[in-house]
Amino acid sequence: MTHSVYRLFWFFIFLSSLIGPAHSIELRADTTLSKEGYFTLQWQGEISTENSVLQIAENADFNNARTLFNLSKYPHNSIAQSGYLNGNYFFRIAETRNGNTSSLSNTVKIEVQLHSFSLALLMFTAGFILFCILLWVILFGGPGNFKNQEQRG
Amino acid sequence: MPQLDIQTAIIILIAFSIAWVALGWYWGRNSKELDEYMLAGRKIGIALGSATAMATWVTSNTTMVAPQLAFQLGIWGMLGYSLGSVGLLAFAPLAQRIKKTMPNGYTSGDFFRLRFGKLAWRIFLAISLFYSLGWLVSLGMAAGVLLESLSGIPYTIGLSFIMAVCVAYTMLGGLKAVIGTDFIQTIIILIGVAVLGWQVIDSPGLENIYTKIEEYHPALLDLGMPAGLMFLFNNLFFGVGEIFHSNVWWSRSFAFREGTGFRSFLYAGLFWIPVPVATGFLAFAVFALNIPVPAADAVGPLVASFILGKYGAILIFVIVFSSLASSLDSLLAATSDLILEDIYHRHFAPRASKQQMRKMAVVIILLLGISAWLICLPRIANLAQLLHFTGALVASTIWPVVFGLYYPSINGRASSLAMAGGCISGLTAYFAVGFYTAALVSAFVSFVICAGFMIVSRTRFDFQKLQEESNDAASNSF
Repeated sequence: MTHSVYRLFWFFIFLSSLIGPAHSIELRADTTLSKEGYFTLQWQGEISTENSVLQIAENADFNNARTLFNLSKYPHNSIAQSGYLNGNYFFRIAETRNGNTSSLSNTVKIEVQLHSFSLALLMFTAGFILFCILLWVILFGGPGNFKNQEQRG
Repeated sequence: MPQLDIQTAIIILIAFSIAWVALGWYWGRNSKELDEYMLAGRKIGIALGSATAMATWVTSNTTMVAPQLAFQLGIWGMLGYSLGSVGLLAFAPLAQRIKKTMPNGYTSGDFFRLRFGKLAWRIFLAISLFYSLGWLVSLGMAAGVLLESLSGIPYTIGLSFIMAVCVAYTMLGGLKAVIGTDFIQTIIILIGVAVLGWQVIDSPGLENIYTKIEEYHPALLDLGMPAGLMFLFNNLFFGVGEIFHSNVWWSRSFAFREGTGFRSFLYAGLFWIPVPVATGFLAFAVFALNIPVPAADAVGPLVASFILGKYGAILIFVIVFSSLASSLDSLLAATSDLILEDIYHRHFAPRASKQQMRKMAVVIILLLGISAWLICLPRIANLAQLLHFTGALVASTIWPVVFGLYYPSINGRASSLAMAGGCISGLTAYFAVGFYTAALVSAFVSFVICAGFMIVSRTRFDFQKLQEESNDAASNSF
């Protein structure tokens, strides 16, 4: 019996290590894979300290983290982001105090994988050709075209 | 957080509302006949014609979605939105053709019925009414949401107020009231947008804006940005589809005096181009000013009030109110005309006299306004996305309209299949790739079907049939 309790205890310790430390703020994104380079971050939980910031980094350990915004007086609980190129981006809400940074939220990873350029070029070319046809039909097309109307007065 | 205090907002709202309703009553006091009420006596000149076309096309989307798309898709988002003007410019020759072939027509539905027969006409009506109601509901919801976010006026009150005002002056004055108020609203919008654009360029400075975007949001300046490239012609065809099929624009073609339609739409298109460019540019300033944006569609008002303070908030409030009213009134008038002529008259009351139709026009405007208001009330957020969805539907009508107006060889079967095929393929692209491909794919498939049928077709439509039958549009049975 004691042995079972002992095992159960270590099992829970193992599980909690998988889950990670509990955070006061839950950060999430509207997508984990962005094909357009834009996305929105949202969070739940009160941002109470004056030094709370939204950070971005290119790796999960936030070695090269950059502060996007100070959130201490920000009245909303979401931030829209755009203009990102292909890559992995990591976000978190953190508190900076005396040069030390501690995370207030979980880390959100967003992968930006833009649509292929060849697909975009295909759509662009198709659109351009279709547009030229449209103009040609309206201006010079059938017997009732604009040019003939003008000539007939 | 509201950017304008509620008292100031209510004063502006009441002052403008009184003015619109009074002008609506004044301009419409002599509109006793059906033609006067529905089509402003078919005598609208170039100045009023250009203004009403431009003001109607400047919707809350132009002031709110243009900055959103610039924020999300960068340079192509801003320029792509301004390609919405191509719809107006390309419609200029069509307006002339419509007036010539159907001098006594009432609605775009008349064209589909006479040109392509019952099946294509009913498919068209389903597309057009779905689109119109979607646009009306999205405008109503935008009114409530924007007034609330700009001033703190509760959603339900803001929505109800704007709906009631627009329904009141459209009911009182018909198309004359709509066109008259559109003229004033155009002047307000143009001046307001010019001031905003100037201040935005002046405040953070172009160089500062460019440096910040290049450093932290480089995809926005990338001319090879895939989603932006796809969006460009998609938005063009979305706009062309909206304008070419919708009775909002056909009713104006019928209402314009002979020989004025072409220039009215041409001028409207040219005046419209800078509006989304100026409002879209607001979005770029957000990066230089380092303003956190809670949602992409909030970027326009945020920057305006940040740069201009309280006066900026007032300015954007007035621009938004004017652009909402100028589109809502036109949509109410044109959609009620479509329901009156193509549903009520052609399906249920074929023997209705013009006097009965005139009375029924008022009832339909009121019922349409109430219906839209009821749908808007629950504030279902995803209804605002409805318009993107309709891109696939309206783009499918482009080729049936263009080929139908210019070529005798296209028939009802071809246009029905083109609209159905365009809708299905466009919606597939919407879900499979993204909203920025739906209209383009729909237009492409619709073109292939139309062109294929025309190559093998032996149909030779006599365009005189459009003129003869439409003379009796409001008195003969179908």
